[in-house]
Amino acid sequence: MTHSDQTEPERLAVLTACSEAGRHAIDESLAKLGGRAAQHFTSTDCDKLNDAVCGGEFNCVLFADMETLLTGIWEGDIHLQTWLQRGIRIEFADTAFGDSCSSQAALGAFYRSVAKWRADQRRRKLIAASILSLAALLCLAVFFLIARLPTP
Amino acid sequence: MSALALLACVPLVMWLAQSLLLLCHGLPIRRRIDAGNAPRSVRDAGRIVTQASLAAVILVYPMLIGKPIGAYYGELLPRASAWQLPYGMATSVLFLCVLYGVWILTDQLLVKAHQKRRRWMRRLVLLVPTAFFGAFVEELLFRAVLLADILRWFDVALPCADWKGLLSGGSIAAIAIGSLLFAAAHYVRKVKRRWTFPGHVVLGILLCVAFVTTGNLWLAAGLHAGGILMIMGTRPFIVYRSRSWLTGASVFPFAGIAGIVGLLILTLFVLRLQGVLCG
Repeated sequence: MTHSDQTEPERLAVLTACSEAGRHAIDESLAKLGGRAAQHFTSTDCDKLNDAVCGGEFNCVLFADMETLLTGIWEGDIHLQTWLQRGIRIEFADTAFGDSCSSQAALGAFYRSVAKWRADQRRRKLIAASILSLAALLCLAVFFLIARLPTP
Repeated sequence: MSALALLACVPLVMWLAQSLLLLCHGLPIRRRIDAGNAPRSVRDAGRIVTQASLAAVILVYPMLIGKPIGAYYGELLPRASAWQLPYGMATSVLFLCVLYGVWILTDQLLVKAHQKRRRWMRRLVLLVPTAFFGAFVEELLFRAVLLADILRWFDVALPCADWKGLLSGGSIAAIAIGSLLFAAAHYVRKVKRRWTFPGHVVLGILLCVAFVTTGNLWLAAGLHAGGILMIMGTRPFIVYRSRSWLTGASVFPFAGIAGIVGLLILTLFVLRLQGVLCG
């Protein structure tokens, strides 16, 4: 996924991984790059990373693995189309998705990412629906209690 | 129209304070009230000046019309009607539960903790005091001071608990002016979104109708506090994915078409509750 102009100085952003293995892979990657200066974003700041990249602050972004990138895309934080149009170079610390990213490995990562995201969404929706239902029941209880108050 | 004159002083005081603070920091004066990118001390001091000037309006107005402060607000918060506070809260919380529920189930909203843990924990801890403080300050300012003054100007007696009273020219005009000024006040500072203005107007209509039909602040404050509670409580955990004109955005779920229709239904509900629709 290399599109950027090679003469342009590299401005690197790193999306910090949530897992210990991901963090380790990123540290190794950065060490291999000779401790290159990079700005780190946490996974909760994925939208800020997108804004910075779309705003032209970075031309290279390092992810722990493809799943991290895909999660950002599913959640609507990363606008990949804009990144590709801007020629942003995307790198993965996980060696399975280095420059020689194989289609089998990519498909596997894609499938795992979709499955994980769907499961996460189901869980989040369930929690949200439970809390909202509980709040609605509480409101109905308030109406019921007020209706039983003696009228002045 | 002493309330309007008092309220008009607030943006002026805010702008003067901002200009003074910017000058103290060696920064250029801004034409608008906009503390964006200004030093933290400018923003913090600006907030304090805003709150102080709003408090001054609330305290000075009863004196201007020759009433003791406690007696004036005491009349608008009668103990016998205090049940309307939880009633109003439950109404707006239920309304927003249904709205958010529909948006989440239809994937218009994404459920996701998008703020740092420390930040949303702090927000949740401060949620209840923030909701009550925000609701009561705004209700005192826009209903107890501004709307009450406009109603007095039109010679309308509170409460308007039947059609005749509500449809009298004075009440309708007062509600319209009160709602427009309530909405406009939210755009005195520089804001990210201006398309939310109609939503603020309809919200203003709901709160003004609640005040005019009950003749006190409890129901309006309850509706307002319930709304703030739900909006600020869910804010760290939802991301709007759909078109803003439909669902609203950020802290403005009431500003989309669905929210506006919902607010109009709530207004009819308030009229029905107060027996205006039956009378």
